[in-house]
This record gives sequence, C-alpha cells and structure tokens, in this order.
Amino acid sequence: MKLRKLLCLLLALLMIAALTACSGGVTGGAPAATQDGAAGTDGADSSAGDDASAPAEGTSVDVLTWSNAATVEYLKSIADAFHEAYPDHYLTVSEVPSAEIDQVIQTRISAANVDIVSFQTFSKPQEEWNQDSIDKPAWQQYIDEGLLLDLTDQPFIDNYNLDILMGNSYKDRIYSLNMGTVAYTGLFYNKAIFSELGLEIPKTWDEFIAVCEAVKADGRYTVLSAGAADQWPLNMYSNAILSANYGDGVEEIGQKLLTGEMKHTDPEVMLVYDCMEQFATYLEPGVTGIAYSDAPGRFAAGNMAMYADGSWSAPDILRANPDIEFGYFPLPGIEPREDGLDPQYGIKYDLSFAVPTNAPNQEGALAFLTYISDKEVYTAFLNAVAGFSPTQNDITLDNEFLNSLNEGLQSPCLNAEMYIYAPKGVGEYGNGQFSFLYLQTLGGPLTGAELAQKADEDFETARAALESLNN
Amino acid sequence: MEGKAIRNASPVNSPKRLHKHIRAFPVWVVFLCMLPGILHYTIFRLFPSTMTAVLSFTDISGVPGSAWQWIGWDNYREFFILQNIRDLKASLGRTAIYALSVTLIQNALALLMAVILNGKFLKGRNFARAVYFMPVILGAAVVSTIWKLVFSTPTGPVYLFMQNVLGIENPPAILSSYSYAFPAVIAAQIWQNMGYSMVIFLAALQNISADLYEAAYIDGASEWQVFWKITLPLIWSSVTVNTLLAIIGSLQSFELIMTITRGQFNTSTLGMMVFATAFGGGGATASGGTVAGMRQGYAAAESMVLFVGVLIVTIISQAIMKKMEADQ
Amino acid sequence: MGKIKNIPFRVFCYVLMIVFLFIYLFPLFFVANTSLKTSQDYMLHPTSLTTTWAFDNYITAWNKANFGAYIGNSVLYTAVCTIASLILSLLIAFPISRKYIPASGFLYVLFLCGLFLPSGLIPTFQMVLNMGLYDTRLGYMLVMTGVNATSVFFFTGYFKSIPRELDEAASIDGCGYLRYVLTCIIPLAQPAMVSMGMLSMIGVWNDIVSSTIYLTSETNYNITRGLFVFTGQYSNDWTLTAAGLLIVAAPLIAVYVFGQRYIVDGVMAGGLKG
Repeated sequence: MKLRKLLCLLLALLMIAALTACSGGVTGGAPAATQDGAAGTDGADSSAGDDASAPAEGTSVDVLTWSNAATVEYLKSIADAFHEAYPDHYLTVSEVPSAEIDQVIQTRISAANVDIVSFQTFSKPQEEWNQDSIDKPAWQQYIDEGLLLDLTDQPFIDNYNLDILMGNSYKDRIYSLNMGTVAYTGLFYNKAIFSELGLEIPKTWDEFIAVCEAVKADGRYTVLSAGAADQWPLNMYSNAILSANYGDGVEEIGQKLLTGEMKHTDPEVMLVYDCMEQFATYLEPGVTGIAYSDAPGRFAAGNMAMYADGSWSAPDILRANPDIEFGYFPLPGIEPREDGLDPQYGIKYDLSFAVPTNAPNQEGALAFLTYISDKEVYTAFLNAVAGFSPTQNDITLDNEFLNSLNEGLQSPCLNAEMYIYAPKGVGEYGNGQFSFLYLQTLGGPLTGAELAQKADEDFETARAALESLNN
Repeated sequence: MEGKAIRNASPVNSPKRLHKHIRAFPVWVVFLCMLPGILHYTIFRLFPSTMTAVLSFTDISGVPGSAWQWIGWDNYREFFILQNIRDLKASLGRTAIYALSVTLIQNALALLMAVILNGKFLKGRNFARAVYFMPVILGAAVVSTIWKLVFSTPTGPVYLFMQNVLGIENPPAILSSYSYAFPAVIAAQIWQNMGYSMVIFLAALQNISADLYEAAYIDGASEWQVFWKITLPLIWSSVTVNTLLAIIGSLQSFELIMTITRGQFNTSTLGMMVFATAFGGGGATASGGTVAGMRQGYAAAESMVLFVGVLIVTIISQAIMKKMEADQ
Repeated sequence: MGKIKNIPFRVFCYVLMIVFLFIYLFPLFFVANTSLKTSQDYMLHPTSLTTTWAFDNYITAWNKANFGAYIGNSVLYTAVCTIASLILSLLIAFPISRKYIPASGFLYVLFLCGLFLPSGLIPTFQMVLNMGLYDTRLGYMLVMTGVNATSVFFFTGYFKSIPRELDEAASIDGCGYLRYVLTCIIPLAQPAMVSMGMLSMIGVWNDIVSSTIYLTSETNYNITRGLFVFTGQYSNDWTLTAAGLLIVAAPLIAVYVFGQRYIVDGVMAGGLKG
C-alpha cells in the first residue's frame, strides 16, 4: 500500500517536472497578452442563444453555409425580421466547417433537405479543350444534372451589377446569387508598427522586401505570418504572385500549363517559386504549425507587422482586438503596372447562394433571396460581414476598412486561382496549388527550382497516363 | 482479472451430440426470432459488401439522380495507371508502413507491458493496466483532440520541450510537417490501441500455470529464458490473434488520420482515400489535392483494392504465424 | 515466481511501468490542466500549473459547442443501438449455440465473416439515401446497429455454460421461446451481456465516421461530431477545446471506472478465439 502511494506521488511529481521543463516562456510566437479571447466568443455565444428561440411558425427555409462567424451571426440575427416580412417562412441556418462544405452540400442536396446552399466561385468548368484532362467540378455536375435553380429571370437579380454576376455564370445563366467579392491577394499590415518604423506601403516587390528587412532589422516585431498549418492560406499566395505580375494574363498561363505548352520551370511560372522562397524567409518560425483559425487573433495581438490572409478576415481581427489599427495592401509585382496604377487586387466571388431544384421550400428560398437582395438589408449585411465588396450598384458602406480597399479595386483581375488547373491524377508536387510547404525555406526538403522540376515531371506523367488511358 | 466467462467459453465446434438432442422449442419460432438479426445483417452488412464490388465497375457519382453506366475495369485501370505512379506507390507504401509498424510496435509494446504487469510483485499493476487501456475507450474524436493539443505549435508541450529542453532552435510543427506528421499519426494509433492488445496478452498469460514458472526458476532459468521457452510458446495463439486484429484494424481504420490530419501532409492511407474519394475531404487524395467526393464508383474500386490487400496480407500473415508456431 | 528475487529485473519493471504511466497520463493531465486556465494565462504560460481554476471554461464550452443538444442525441443513439444490437445478437447466438435450427454452423461462419468483409461504406450510403433515411436519426441508428461478429462469438461460447436442461424444463412448463430467452437467458448471461453492451456503447458513443457521413444537420449531431466541429471552429482557444474534450470524455471515463471489469472481460474473450 505504501509503495502504491509513493508511486502516485512520484508520477505526479514527474508530470509537474515535465511541465516546468517544457516552459521557459513561449518564444515561438507573438505573446498574445492583449488578445482578448473572450471578446471574440461572446458574440457567438449570444447568437447560439438566439438560435434556440427561432420562431417556429410557417415553413423553414434552411440555409447551409460554411463557418464564418460574421456571416452566420448576421444571418441568424435577421431571422426575426425575415419572419416578419414573410410570415409564412422562417429562417434556419446550418453551418459546417469550411473543409466539409463540399461534402455536406453533396449529401444534403442528395437528401433534398436544404433550401439554400452556399458556393464560392464557379470556376474551371470542364470544356471541350480540357475535357480529357480534368474532372467535372461539383458545381458543374449539379447544374448539368438540373439540380440548381436558374435564377437569371428572378426579379431580385435586377438589384445587382449584372456584369459582376455574369462573371460567375455558366452558359450565360445565373445559378448563384453572389453576395460579395473579396480581395485576397494582399497582406494585412499593422499601422502602428508601420508608422513607428517609418514604413510606406510597398509598390514593387523590391520595396516589399525592403519593408520586411526593415522590420526584421528592428527586431522587436514578427515580420510576417500566416495560418500555414492549413496549407491553403500559404498556397493561395501563389495566386497573389501570379495576379500581381500578370493580371488577367494568368488565364493563358493556366491553359498552357495544362496542355503542356508551358512548364513550371519556364521563367513566367518559376517567378512564383522564387518569390515564395523569398517571402517564406520572413515568415515567423513555426509558421507551418499555426492553424488558420488561430492566425487572425495572433495578428490582432499587435506584435506582428504583416499578416498574409484574405480581406475577409478583417472582422475576425477586429473581433479579437477592437482597438487595433490595421490596413490591407495588394502584394506588389516585380515591375510597376503598365497602366501606371498602384498594385491592384485579384478578386474572387465569395459567398454565393444557390437554390437546389429539389429544395423542400423553394418558395421560401426565393423569398429569402428577395429579402436579402433588398438594398437596405443588403447594405446592412455587408456592413455586418465587413469583408465583402458589394455586387449591387451604388452601395455605400460605413466600413472604413472596406472603403480603403477601393484604391486597389480600380482595375482588379479575376484571381489566378480560377485559371490554374491540375490534370486528373496528377502527383503531389503538381497539384495546381504549388505545394509550398515542400520548400526548404518552409522547413521542407526542396528548393524552388527542384519543386518546379518535380511539378513538371508530375504534369508530364499525368498527361502521358491520361493519353494511354483515353486510347 | 477473473476471466470466468472466458474459461467457460469453449469453441463452437467441440464434438457433442447436441444436434441429436430433443429440440426444446419449435424451429419456426426460433427462426422467426432470428429473422430481424439475419435481415439486418443481410441488408446492412452482406449486401453493401457485395455491392461494393458491383459499384466498382460503374461510374456512379455522389450527385443524386445523375446517370451512371457500366464502365468495366476503367476504375481499376485509372487507379493503377492514371494515379501518378510515384504517388500510387507512395500511398500503397504508406498503407503498408502504417499497418506494419502499427502491428509490430503495438504488439511488441503490448507484450512487454503484459509480461511486466503479470508480475505479481508489482504494486499498482491493476492501476497501470486500467490506465493503459483507457485510450481504447476514449475513441478517435477525443484522442485526436488530445493529440492535436499536445502537439500544437507553438504552445504545446512537445514543441516547448523540443525548444527548451532539447534546445532545437526552430522545432518542426509535427502535425503539419511532411516528415513528421505520419510518424505522429502512427504513434497516436499505437498509443490508442496498445492497451487493447495488452489485455488480450494478459488474459493468455494468466492462463499459464504458476507451477511451470516455479519449476523453471528452481532449475536456474533467467527471466529472459523463461520468456522465450515457456511464456511465448504458451501464449502463441494470442500473438496470432493480436497480429490479425492489428493488421485488419490498421489497414481498414482511418478515424485517427481523418480526425488528426484529414489525410494531409502525406498521411493518407488507402482506407482514408476511400473515404475521401467517396465523401470528400481536403487533401486526402494520394497527391494531397482536394477531391470533391463525387466519384463513388471509383471509391468502390479503391475499396475493393483495399479488401483484396487485407485478404492477401491476412492469409500470408496467418501462414507465417502457423509456420512460426510449428517451428517452436 | 516469488521464490527467487531478481532485484534488477524488478527495478526494470517498475521503471518501465512508470515511464508508460507517464506517457499515458501526461496528455490527459495536460488537457485537464489546460482546461482550467483562462485563455490569457494559457497564451502566456501554456505549461505552468493552473492557478486560475477557470471552471467557467466548461460552461462556456458546453454552451458554445451546443453539447446540451447533442448529448441527448448521443444518449438516444447509444441506448437504442446498444440494446437493439444486443438483443439481435442474442437471438442469433442462442439458437446457434444450441443448434436449434438447421445450418447453425453455416450461420455461425456467416456472421463471423463480418470481421473480414469489405466495408460497404458506399453502397450503404447509397441505400440509406434511397430509403430517404439520410440525415435522419432513424437512418443513423439503423447503420450503427448491427449483429456484430464478436458478440455472436462471445455469446455462443457463453451460452454453452448454461445447462440445456433449463431450456427443456422451460419448454415443458409451457414457457414461450421469446419469453424464455428474454426473462431467463438474459439474467443468466448477464456478465456477457454487460461486457458486450459496454463495448457496443463505447463504439456508438465514439463513432465519428458514420456520424460525419450520415448526420449533417446540427439537430442530429452526436456529441463526438459536435466536439469535432467545435474544435474546428475554436481551435484558436485551446482552453475551451480542452474543456469540451473532457466533457465528451467524462461519461466514457465514468463508464470505464465502474465497468472496467466487464469491458476488459469482453476484450479478452474476443481475443481468445484464436
């Protein structure tokens, strides 16, 4: 018996010793003393409460979207007003983690138990020129199978800027109502740090590197970070580099890469690897372990000069620290633009609502789209979400941050992501997302040149395999 | 551990004259009562298993109501030809490494701990057994979350240990590293299931008579000799069972992979690929790309490849175990 | 082996046991410690012993993760699937062990095959979908219920220890078959039932794959699915995640503490078939 007690004691001591051995201060990341975790979560808390008290009369309009606190909270908050305007219907919102949204859309459309589903850009359709090389994307399958309602002739479409909506159409019909576009080829920067160090927003790549060097030399602040553990937040900067340097010219590059007329090792594409290798040297140590959901809060703590993320994260940053002063600037290209403008953003379509043709409450779904398309509601929505640029005409937002983006949106291009294909069955290096985590500067095994080389090999192998398969 | 129930359990094929016995109850009543179970088993187990083979020859999609057709061996051809060969090899290799390392390490550790915990002198051995077994009941959702917390960067204890104790300047983020994520997932699988194998070994060890040991020790045998000459041969059947369970379990199960890395960072095994191809999931293809989860016919083909793999490995390992038993 | 004391060997055993206890307990200890910190404290001193005792984390996690709604589902799923599986398996295993029906041996093998068959994930999904049971509680429970091979194996073995004379006496007394099995055999086979019941309970409670596939509306989520989604949404706040994790694990640990004997019995029995 005595021995047993001794054992317990020993074990307990061992654990405490292990704890203290590990401590010695967190040196890897920005100390987040100012991050008020509670502030971000209170909002979500109260909305969960509202959810429970959703009105139960009428037929439910079930909206499915991915987890984005601002959108979900706003949608839940207008449930009462919507019910008042359309007493026959009431709103229920289901959210799923964004990594699961494709799967859940698929299964819930299969089950015909959802009225509105959320998509992003309808990009990379299977067309005649690429039909042997790529799979049909999910959205195209839904439309081809007649599972998404054609919204083109709905009256609420008139409230929107048709030019923008048509950019996300399929065969000149509109199947999804886009709520807003986002700029995401830029970087957040901490205004206080920039002014303290006397830094200006960079207009060329060299200036950008100079800014990074200046912060690094000062030594007090983290230069740059991202939510790299999720891979895509870093990989999407391939798009930023492409958009900044080639604008809409990326469409051609993407097609040529797929057909084999162009290679990753060609200078045009090699540029992406070179820039990222350089970019990565300024990322904070341990960046590949930082979860995307964790990242905005770390920037908000105020110790980081720049943070790589899409403009949609602005509300998350504010939520974590309402006092922080920050801005957003487009990642500059190597050369200044030919048209003399400052660097511009690449944009993409964010939250877009579509109505499945098998929706149990299609009438309610259309009623909701009509409701949210109302100029006043729509403006309030964008103000609440605080990350989207409007797709309706003549909308004035009260959001300083969004208005500050306008300068970079004078001549935006559609984001490179929409044009970079990966052939079916391609290997891990050439999956169309540039797989930056293989780079040595990010703790991986390869140099940029080697990675580009391997991507080419993967594309070659895939093309050869496709050929033998199709014959 | 009493294991009372166990000793009573005799193999079903023990020679008895039971079928000649008077039947106590009318057959039709007995059968009627079995029917729900048989039906459920047929509908939800046998039928889907068979259908997997059938669907693997179609291009059926997850999109409801879409047309599908018979496409012969195309799915298999695609799997073996189109899937970038290097990546196909990598993912099959990964599946093999996963199964092999889990089977070997888990059983070796389990056997070691079982032998130690079987020592009657050891105080606290019941407590230790309870602790080692606990992750088995915690399940993948809980274990994966524990794992993610312990390995989190840069505030997790492992990261800080590497940084402050081992003095590594820039420790890798284990769970999002191409080099370390996979070993970490294997470790999680072993951590979760070691107790399970251990308990099976313990049951076998407890059936060995203490007199045997007593005699051996009096003859001057060392612990090491006793283990090889007496213990191991006597518990060989449980080694076989544990090997089988670990192989099947590790080849088919993907809960931990799904919950820890979603198959990213080169951690996807064939089982995970089946799930990801059928139901979608970020980064879970062989190539680490995302899949829409639309290609259920193709997923069925992957599933069949996995099944054949499990079958072959099971048969081979059974043969090896039999051979080793005979050699002893 | 008490006679000859090999001291180094004993020390070795103790050291190894303690090292492994550490490996197994430390993560849990760390989780518990983290769950009692305020998020600020965790950010600053992730590995210090908690001094803040932030029990609020549990309430916050409970509310945010909406566990209140999911725990009811989990209890329902676990109870229904466990009881149904047990009764179905019992009704299969009993006549097989007694050879009351023709082809008992064949049926026995058929059910044992379940251990090796391909998973049937995709056809099951298509089937549930076409039955209109997708994303319904009933559909999920149908999938999660099952005559499982281990139970059939375990029960057939166990019933052999129940004397046949009892069956005959009951049938002579005019006791119906179903009534006999439910009122006489179940109490006699209680340890076996509890063992298998607990294993099945743990399996259903912990299920994450099927709940990911079949339960997509929040109203149907089970608690592990809730935990998984919650960790996805709040992975920036490890204190809440840790608290949520312990909330999900608590019932399991409680069951384990009280039913360890049965659970371990069940596992051992499963392992002894070879």
